[in-house]
Amino acid sequence: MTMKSHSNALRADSVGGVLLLVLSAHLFGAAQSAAPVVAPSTASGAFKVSLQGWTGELEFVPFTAADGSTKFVSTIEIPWDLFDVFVFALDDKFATDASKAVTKPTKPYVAADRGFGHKGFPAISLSHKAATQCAAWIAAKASIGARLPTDAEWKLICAQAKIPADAIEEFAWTNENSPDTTHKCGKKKADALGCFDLYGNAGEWVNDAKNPRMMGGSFQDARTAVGCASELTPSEDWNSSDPQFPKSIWWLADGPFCGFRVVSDSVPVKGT
Amino acid sequence: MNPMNPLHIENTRRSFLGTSIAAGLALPTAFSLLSARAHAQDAKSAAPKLKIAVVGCGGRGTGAMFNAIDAGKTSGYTIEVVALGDLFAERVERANAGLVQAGIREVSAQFLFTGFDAYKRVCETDCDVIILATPPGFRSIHFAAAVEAKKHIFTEKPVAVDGPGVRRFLAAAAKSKELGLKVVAGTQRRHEQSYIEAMERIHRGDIGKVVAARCYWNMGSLWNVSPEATKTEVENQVRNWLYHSWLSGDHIVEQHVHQLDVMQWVMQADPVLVRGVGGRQSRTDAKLYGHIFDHFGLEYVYPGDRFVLSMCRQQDGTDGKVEEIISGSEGMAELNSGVANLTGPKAWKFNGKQTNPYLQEHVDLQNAIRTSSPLNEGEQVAKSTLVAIMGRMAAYSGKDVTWEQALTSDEVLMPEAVEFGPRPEAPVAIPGKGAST
Repeated sequence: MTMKSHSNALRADSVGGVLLLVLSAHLFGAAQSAAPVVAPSTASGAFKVSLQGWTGELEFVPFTAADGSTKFVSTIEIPWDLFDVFVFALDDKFATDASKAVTKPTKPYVAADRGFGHKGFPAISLSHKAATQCAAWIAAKASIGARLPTDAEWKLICAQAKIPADAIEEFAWTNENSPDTTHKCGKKKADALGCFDLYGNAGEWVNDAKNPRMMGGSFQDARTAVGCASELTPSEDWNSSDPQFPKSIWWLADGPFCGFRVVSDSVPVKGT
Repeated sequence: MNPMNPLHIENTRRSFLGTSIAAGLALPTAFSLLSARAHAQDAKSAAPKLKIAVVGCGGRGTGAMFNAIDAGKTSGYTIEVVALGDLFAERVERANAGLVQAGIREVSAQFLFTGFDAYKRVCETDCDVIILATPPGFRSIHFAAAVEAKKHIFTEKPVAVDGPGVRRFLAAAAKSKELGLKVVAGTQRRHEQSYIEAMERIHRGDIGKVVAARCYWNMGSLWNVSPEATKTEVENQVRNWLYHSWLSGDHIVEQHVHQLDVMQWVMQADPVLVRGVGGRQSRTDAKLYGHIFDHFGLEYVYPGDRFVLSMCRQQDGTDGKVEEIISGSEGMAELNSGVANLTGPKAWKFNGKQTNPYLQEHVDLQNAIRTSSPLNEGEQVAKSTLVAIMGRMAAYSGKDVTWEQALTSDEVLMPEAVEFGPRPEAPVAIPGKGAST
């Protein structure tokens, strides 16, 4: 039996107006106050972003895109405490015209975290549309080019992550080490890019102009099934037990494995 | 096993099976499948017909209509929707448009009924089954009318918001039994395979003697509708019905009744009394959230020195927990949608085929009608509703409330007749200050 305790209360709106964090000022100079941004945290080009209304930081690390340019990927799957700020508008007092313009999901009609855990755990049960909109909201809040990766980008990221095939359990929550639940983001080893949970834990939505996909496998999948080749096309079975008509376009009643991470085409805009 | 493979989804995981809240638009693909099913059914001309009607065409009522249509594929009936009723015309029209979109024959205009009396007109049709899915305050009145009309019934939960409503429902349920009518309630865990198998094991003693249990429905807030100045107070409250106890019973009754029903199922008895606390901290704007609480914490005392901890909240940004945990003298059981784990000497984990309980409840109803088998959940769901109501009464009043006090209570929240007009906002209950509604 899994007896889970949830002792971490969310305090997503307790940050006050400030934020700003870290950084080695050599790229951007002194941190700007009152800006929902941050700056590079390492010489490698990685940077962290704070979002007003959320107490955490989202770190991005560089990867090499197909055209040889440098893009950035969030090191973790987007956690509930960040998604809550988006869906429940917990950032009301910090909302900007741009962030308000992003269409938000309806409120979930049940506990979408399924009791797996909340603060620090990957947001799940999300439709591709919900993930897409949250990425747009992050972009608006942080003045970065945040969005879902394309499936080609996700595969490039995965290849550059170089997760060793003989040590997957050190990098991934899978059916063998976590059959019943997701885990907090970033509790397994970081891969070669500095990302966590690319394999397993929550599956990850990606874009394709016409065909959304779910990549990487999840905690429900066998060790042999997670990885860069794990790619699913969404099915209506993922929401078959939504008892409403019309069914929700935001929440997947049968999709406890559906989460996401974001990529950014750019570093934060200075001073925004 | 590869549960991310959609072919395996239904066998494996926690579905977050919920209640009665609409949200968003459907995937177009759902319609194409439904349409294909409908045409397949039409082709089976030999299949007997079952005529259904809906009272309350919101998201859940319309969803239940499609569940019933789909259930025909398993029960062997060709389902025909013959009447739709709702307080509001646009709800009826949307449900009918959904039928058209799914390639199913729409309901003709003379059988689309609106207004507070729509249920009476629906009862006058020649339907075999009525789906009751309005806000709960109306339910016991509608149920009694449907029984009078000798219809089989699918009734959403809860079935009342006050003691008098429960008594009205219980009386009608007794009559429905005498008449041999089939009644299934929207406490869908009773039709969910993981629960059914776990309960068999618990009742035969696999975790020893049940000594206590805990149940939770903790989550964020639900949808709400802002009042409009052009509408009467009654209309604004009906459109925002979750937040008015005369319509919803408060969220412990409207939503947490699911878990309290499981507790009743486990304990196989009614609670002697309940005590507890509750309040309202995060949803305090009466304009948007009426007067209901946003959290309850209760202790139910059951016969045989057993007790149940019940906890429910609707507060944004808080941890979710929707499950039941049963403590036995030799082990424990953890139950959730699609999940059942028993520990102890007879440890067991559900690994069977999980079917959609929202569909299964209609399959079970239709099978009972077809085979003339006994199936009447009326009394059961009325008692589970009363368990929730007595919890609200205890939290609102700050007083211990016995089963008898709740059952014989003359506190009326839902008037016998409702019409559009003024209805001042009820005050928020303050424990110790007298009000118990």
